[in-house]
Amino acid sequence: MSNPAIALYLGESYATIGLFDTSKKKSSALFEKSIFLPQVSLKNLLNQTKIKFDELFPANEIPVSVYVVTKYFDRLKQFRLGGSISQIIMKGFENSYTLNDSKCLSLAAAQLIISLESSDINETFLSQELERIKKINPDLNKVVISIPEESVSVKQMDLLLDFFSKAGLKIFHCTSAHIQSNLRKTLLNAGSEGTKEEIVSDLKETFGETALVNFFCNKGFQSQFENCELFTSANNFLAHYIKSKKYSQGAFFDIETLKFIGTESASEWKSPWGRMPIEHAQYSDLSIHPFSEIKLNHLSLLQIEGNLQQLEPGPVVAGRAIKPLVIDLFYEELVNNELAKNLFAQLPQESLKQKISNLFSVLEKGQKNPNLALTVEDVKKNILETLQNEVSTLGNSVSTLVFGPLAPIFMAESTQGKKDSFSWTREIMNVALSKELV
Amino acid sequence: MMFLRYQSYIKNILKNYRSCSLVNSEGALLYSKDNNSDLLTTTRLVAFQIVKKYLNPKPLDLFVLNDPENGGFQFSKLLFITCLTPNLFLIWDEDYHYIDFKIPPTPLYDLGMKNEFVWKALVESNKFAAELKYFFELQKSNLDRIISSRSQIDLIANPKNQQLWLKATQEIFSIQFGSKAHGSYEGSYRLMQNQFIKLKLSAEEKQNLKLITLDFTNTNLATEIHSSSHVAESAIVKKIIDFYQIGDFFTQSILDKIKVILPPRSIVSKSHPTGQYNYELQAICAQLCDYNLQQMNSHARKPQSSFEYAHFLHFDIHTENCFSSNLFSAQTVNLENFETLINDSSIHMSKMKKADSVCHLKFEVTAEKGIKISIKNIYYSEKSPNFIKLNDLVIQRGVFSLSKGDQVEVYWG
Repeated sequence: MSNPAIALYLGESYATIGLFDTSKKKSSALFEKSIFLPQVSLKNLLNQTKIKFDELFPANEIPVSVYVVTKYFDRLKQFRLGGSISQIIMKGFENSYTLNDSKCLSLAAAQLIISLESSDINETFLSQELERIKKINPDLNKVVISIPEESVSVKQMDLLLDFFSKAGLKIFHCTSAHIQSNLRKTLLNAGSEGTKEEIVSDLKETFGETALVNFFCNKGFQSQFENCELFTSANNFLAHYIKSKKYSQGAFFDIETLKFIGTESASEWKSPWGRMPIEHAQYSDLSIHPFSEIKLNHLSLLQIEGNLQQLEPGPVVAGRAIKPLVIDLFYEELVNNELAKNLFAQLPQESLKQKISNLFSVLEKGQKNPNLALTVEDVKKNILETLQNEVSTLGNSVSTLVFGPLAPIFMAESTQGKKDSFSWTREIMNVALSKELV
Repeated sequence: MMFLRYQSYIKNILKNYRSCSLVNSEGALLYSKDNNSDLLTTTRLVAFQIVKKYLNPKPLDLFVLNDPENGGFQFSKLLFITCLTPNLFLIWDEDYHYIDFKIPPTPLYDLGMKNEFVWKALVESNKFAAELKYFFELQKSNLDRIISSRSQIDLIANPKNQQLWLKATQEIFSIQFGSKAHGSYEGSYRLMQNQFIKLKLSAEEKQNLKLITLDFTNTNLATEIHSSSHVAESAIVKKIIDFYQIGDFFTQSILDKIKVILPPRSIVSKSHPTGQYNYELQAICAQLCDYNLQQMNSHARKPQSSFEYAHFLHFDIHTENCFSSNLFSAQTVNLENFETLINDSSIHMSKMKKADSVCHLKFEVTAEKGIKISIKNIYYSEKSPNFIKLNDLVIQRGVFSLSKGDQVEVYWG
């Protein structure tokens, strides 16, 4: 009897899905597809997979297992969160979690705070406050309760939980409220709930309510987890992969990320919203991002814009964009790359090649000082050399696993480490089926 | 050899350092970065010159110093000096808050080997010997990582490459110098009664010579509050570099175009035995420099009437196991390790609030002993209601030992 299962990698900019029959030993994907998210929606990808699923497993009645590794939550890292979250907190502790570092992004809207004293905890007061904040945001649907246990009685805490539950708000309870990093973590759990629910509901709508959706979290694939664990899903998965290959470190080259990953864990995450106790694999982003723009800087020099990644509309090779990115420099190499061919349908077109060439030519000619002028080829060479040097320095003479869909492009001439072929869907399914972590 | 390649090599080997400088055997600055709140570029150059002159560093030697009267900044700021090749030296600094004594230029490693005599005297006899050993070994391990990148170091140390790089950065300075206003402006700040810091800034091009002059000539002689000249220099040089947007190209070619005039034994040129006023004086000099630059480049017909100092509050809290450095200013609030004090029950918060840009903290000391609060600067301003109180009494700059049950309150808005 067949046993269908789905492996999904949901990245920041692209998604790859694979359909497997796990009843067969060492099966390869029966169907596999990758999409570039700014151009094709996840829902569309899931629908295409469902059509294939129905074709291949017409009589299937067992719940479908879906295994997800995600980097999608990295998209949230540039935003303030908590626009639909109320925070219930003791008077005198409003926004206490922000004092650690005011440069961090906010996790909760200050206007939606209900601050109280223990004597305030009664239905009348809470109703008035809820009415007040509902006027500010009628879509408010989550509440973070962050009241130290010693500040209120058990009865008062039960009243709080009961009141907001009856009001139809999803409750996130921070149990050790005086620890600010725990409060930040609870707020992040609440702030990312909507994004997680969207993904889960898309999967359940497509594969049925009985579908078993498992995300790769701290302890492998899990259906029950804290939302904050999804922020480290992809890195933890890659660390697990490196370990499975008997390495202690790896350099990963993907369309949307270039990073150096270790297999040791760190217990604290320095997030854009502040420090939080979230266990995660140690990693460092390499200094060049594939989606960084190549532009003329204030000195009229060709420069890679370091801080901003152009996820949308993405690179010129994707067809729509007019700002050339690092990845566009490697057009010639991408034409022969499997993942790039799948993601960027317009890649083989001569007009696209011409467009990229024109854009870079404009940049080259825009440089004002001939003594400092660089060619696009100079920049490309520099990128390759920088990446190789970085991997070498970070590797610190310890053997490094070099892998990822773009490793053949970025590390072609490197003598560093062992190169390894990697496929998201295949490896997701391998881990899902291994007894070790499931 | 293109400048981009040279710069990438430098950035790669120095990726893990927040505050460091690279120089060649002639002492010419090849690269510098200052990403901490204390600024030390010229301090590091002075430390290098002292070690070079008196200790003649060889490859794989590693020296440490912290003496504020002899090339250092303050006791807790350790400066490390090493020779990567005979023509390349790296100087960096790291905070280590449990050093509260003077360290003259001292060899930690000789040709890559631990100097046993020094380790015995400096590390093993220390109250925090294990932590200090770990700290020094971490510095060595970071250094070893750089040294293992041999080909990159050789390329950076190559005199011909250095020459091309210095030439490229000189051109970049010329472009940026030409893009900003020329002229001069001056501002002053009253530090105490009859104690003024006066800074005149001028940017001029005469006979093809581009020069930025920072002149402290009319600054008063030092009395109570003062710092070494390299402390003030580091702060104003950083402001200039940031203003002209040439941070990635900061070399000797640019440093040579910045002339700093400091009257002898003035507030900004007399070293202090502990360096306790460095942070505050750097803030004043940097703000004065920024004010002058902004006024000189302003398109407004009438300049802003006078320099207004942006006050801030900088205080440390330390226990036996934790050091918390805290900053409140108009732009930022940063309470480093403060949450550790709460989590390990050294203090108990009764207020911790930020609303409408007002921060209000109140806590009770719950640790049995050994907790101190050290206010690092004059934060008081007549125009603001800001305070820090100990048991309801406003406290000013100084160190205060706290006892169990003491109440501390901070208001900043």
